[in-house]
Amino acid sequence: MQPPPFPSDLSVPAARTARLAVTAFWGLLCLALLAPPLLAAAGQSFLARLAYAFFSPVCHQISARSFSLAGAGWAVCHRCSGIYIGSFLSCFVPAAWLARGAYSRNRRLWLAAACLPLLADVLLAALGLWSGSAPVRFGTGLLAGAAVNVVVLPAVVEFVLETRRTVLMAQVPENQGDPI
Amino acid sequence: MNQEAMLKPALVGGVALGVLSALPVVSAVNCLCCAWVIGGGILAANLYVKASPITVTLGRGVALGLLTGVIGAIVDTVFSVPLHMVLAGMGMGIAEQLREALGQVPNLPPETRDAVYSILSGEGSVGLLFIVLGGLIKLLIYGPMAMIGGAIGVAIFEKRSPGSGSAQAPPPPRASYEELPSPPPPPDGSRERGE
Repeated sequence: MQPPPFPSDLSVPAARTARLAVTAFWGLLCLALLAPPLLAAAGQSFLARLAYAFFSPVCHQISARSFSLAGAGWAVCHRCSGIYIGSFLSCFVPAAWLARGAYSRNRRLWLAAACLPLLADVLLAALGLWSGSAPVRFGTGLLAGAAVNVVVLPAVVEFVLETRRTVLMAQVPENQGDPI
Repeated sequence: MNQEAMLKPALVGGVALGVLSALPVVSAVNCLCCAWVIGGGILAANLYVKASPITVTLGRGVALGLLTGVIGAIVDTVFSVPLHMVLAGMGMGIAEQLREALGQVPNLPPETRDAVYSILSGEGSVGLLFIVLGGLIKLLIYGPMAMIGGAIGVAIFEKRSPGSGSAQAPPPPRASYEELPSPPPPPDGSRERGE
């Protein structure tokens, strides 16, 4: 039986690189949220429009429901901003905690519990039973994003280690055994 | 479960997310953090976990999600071609939308505006060019998003403990040198001659 490669194999450079890559991905995405208002403030309205267009497939971008900077809205709404920032912040959770969460028997329960406030906020607002507010939308997004990334980060690390293992196994002759 | 076993769930999930993401009104659900794309990854993971005789790892869910996202981006792009042709026939094609958007940009240099307008005058080719470019952007977005969906799907639907199932059963332990049977004596009488 193979033990889960995360976090026990974090000593493997590939695992550290994968974790760093995921952290960099979320970090860059969080910085990119600020790009459109900053570009607009710098007078680069065409580039600002392009940046808004890049995020338009994943968010409604309603300005009344987005944080603003220098008089212009962020690239995505309060809720999406919360999800991205929560995902980024959860990359700094210690590896042992991440593993405990990702490989826990109750992971579907706590994952559902963390996403439930966000879903309730969306559904109640859609039904007209709840108007919501920016801190609630941001907070529920932050919680859901952090919880989802607790599963996604170890999953990506595991994917990288599995792929690396497959590649190395293909390179080594059978009689030399497991190269890792 | 080998790589081929991933193809069927990935195809089902990819086609579902691609079609739903291409339909004009229905695709608006993707505004909820790419809900169709993440949903496609979750659907593929569900099908894969159900069909797998062994425990599916989170890493395998990521690989499955990536494959689903790539298939979904291709399906979405292919579906966009007839849709674009219909919309262009109604005067609502990509070129018209771009002309309208360019008209709203206040500080665009006139020479740039003229150059873009001249490019936009070639109706069909511009539409196809933007469909191909859009397909590449979709590939960049759908891949990671469906990966997230695949990981979430495995986390939700995989209830078996790691290592359970026949294919992941541990191999029999290797016999130590002491346990190995002694080699048979040589066929000729070399032992006697040696003594």
